Amino acid sequence: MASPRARRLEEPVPDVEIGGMTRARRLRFRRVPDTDVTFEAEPEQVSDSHTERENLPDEAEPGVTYRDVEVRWRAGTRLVVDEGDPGEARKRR
Amino acid sequence: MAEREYRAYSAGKGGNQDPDVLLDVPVVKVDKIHLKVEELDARVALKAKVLDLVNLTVGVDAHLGKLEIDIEGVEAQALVKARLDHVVAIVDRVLTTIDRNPDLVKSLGRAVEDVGSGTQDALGQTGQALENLGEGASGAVSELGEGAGQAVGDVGQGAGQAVGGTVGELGQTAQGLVGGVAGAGVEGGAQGVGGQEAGPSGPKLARTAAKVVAKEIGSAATDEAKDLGAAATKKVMELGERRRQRRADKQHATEAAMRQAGELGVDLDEVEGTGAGGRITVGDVRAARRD
Repeated sequence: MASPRARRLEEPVPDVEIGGMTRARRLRFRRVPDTDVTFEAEPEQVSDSHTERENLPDEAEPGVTYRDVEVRWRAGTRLVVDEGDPGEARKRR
Repeated sequence: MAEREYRAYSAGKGGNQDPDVLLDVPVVKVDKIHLKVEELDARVALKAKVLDLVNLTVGVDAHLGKLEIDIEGVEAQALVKARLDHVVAIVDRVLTTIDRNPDLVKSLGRAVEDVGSGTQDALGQTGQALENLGEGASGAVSELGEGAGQAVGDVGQGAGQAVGGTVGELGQTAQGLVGGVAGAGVEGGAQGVGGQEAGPSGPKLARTAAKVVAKEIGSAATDEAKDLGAAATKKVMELGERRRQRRADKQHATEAAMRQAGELGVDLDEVEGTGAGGRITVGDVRAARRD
């Protein structure tokens, strides 16, 4: 039997969700940032972080100009308090 | 609308469910921008607490390190959502469980009850002690006379203060308990708005109400104890007076003579009265002392 953290449930509705979207005609990094997403939950959580990119590689390079870029990102998390609680545990970056 | 565009790429069915809290940063359009960021942290969290039984926290932290970027033809938007239904359902389930299993919180109630019971015992014992003092120590009281009454009055006042203090502490305990419950309940709502203090009046109101209740409890107990002290004083004074009267009748001496005999250590049984009907007078006592 899968652990609660590994369950994938039918209706994942995050309790808390944060997201953003950026489009750019031209984009050039002078310095590529470090990014980090963490989730906090008590007693337990299922969470999901998801990124969609267009015309931008997973590892962007400084000094390179990217054109017609679009990045969508969202992260959500949901409490899990018992075996019957809905949620999902997938986590993608 | 930013919300509509966000929905277009929001993953999962949950993205379409209306949130209770929505922070919508609409589309920002900039022709050209050079952006330099040292550190950027975004955090949204939802917290709920029920007594010391349940503590729920759920949140997301996003961190962006040092960034320097040139962008042209930019469109950007951001959204924060919080949905309370699930957390409310969990809290509701907890409250239902407590409702069906009151033993869970009996320990909390018992602690407060013990304090109340102790206070009641203290009151009872104070009354009993004062009563014993009045009835049992008849000789001492009669010799002390009015001074004893005053002393017991002081005891009564002391008891009043002591009991008032104890119940005041009970009030403080109750205040903490009530403040804890109410504060926790509101905390979820306040923290749910991305850490903004959305409802500071809730816990403040609860604390104020608890203070008033505690003050009234303490005040009522103090008044009750004062009444008890005053009643005890009156009772002991009456008992002392009655005792003195009985002894005066028995000794066939004036009150002043009895007082003088007590002060000089003269045994009235050895004194012969020269007053009206052979009553012992102060002069008789002094004469007996000289002899």
